[in-house]
Amino acid sequence: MSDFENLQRIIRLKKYESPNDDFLEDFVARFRERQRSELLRQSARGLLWERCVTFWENLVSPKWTMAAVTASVLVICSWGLWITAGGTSSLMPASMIASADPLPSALSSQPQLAVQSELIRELDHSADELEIEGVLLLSRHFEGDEIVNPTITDNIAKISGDALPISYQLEPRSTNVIR
Amino acid sequence: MEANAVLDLPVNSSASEDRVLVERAQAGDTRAFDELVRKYTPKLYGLVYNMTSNREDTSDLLQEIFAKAYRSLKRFMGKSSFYTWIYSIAVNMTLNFLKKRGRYAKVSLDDVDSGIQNDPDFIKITTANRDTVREVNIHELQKRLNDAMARLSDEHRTVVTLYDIQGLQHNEIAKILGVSEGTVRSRLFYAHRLLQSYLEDLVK
Repeated sequence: MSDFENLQRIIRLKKYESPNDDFLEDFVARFRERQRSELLRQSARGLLWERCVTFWENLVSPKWTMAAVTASVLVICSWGLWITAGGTSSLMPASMIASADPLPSALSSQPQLAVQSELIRELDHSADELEIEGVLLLSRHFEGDEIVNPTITDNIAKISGDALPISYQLEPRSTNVIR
Repeated sequence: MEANAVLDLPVNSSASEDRVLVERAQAGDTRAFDELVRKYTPKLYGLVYNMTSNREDTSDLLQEIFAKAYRSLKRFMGKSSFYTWIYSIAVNMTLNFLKKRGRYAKVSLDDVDSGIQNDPDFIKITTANRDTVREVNIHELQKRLNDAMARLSDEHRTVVTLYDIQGLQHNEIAKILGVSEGTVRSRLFYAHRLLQSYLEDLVK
């Protein structure tokens, strides 16, 4: 008998090392217990996920579900990337973007707005005073034009146009007073 | 557990019987899976035990192995036989466990079955060549064998366990480990050479 055969015979003796007779039954019983406890330990999130998966599996075929989910994710991701890359700026024309910043400063220097609020207060007091005030208001209105920056006149014109009907309504009476 | 149960080689197990049990288990029959657990526990116990040299670790690892197999059962398509599949799970999980545990771990060996006393190989080792080989008792032999196995690398111990102790063929081991037959043969050759040097006084 060769050394190699001897070696194999010796190693094969390890097969006699075995657990006691009760091991198998105990092992199977422990395995069953483990399965049950794993079911109980399953987290609420896991159960929700499992239910969602089962619902979708029953509703549509997995292939189409995956396709729909993938498409949705891609659309959302591309939209998110487009937003973060400054995609909103392309919604407005360049001329509007250029005029967007100066507008608040123009509004703050616009006397028209102060006149408007004053006018409203005066209207509440008396109609007679309004006639005189109308002249003052108009003069103030035109005074304001001198101090407005020429570069932003176009923007102001659009805004002051909103106040125009008030002045316009006063205009006929104010002309009578002048006469 | 009967030592003979370990001798039942997977190659002799009924693949069709396994297939039926797997199909029943996949359909939700837990008893069918229990049958598979009963059938493969002795074989896998031998594999894991001889790789870890620790009873408690073996028992815990076996629980993990069957739990993983149960969770993955729906994905088992039957492309390979069930025994190849479950052996692959067992080998991978045991190798991962050994990597985490480290090389030096507490050894707790099973008792040697009394059947060894009647084994002709054991009788030959303990009685023959008395002039050259010193007499060994069962426990000393067990310790010597275990020490020699423990000195092998995890990969070499795996092939020795599967081939020499479990009796699997080269092609079956190759399938389980996912390597070529040549790799299995070369690992075996190298492992045998090492074991021969470790057990020199017993072998001659």
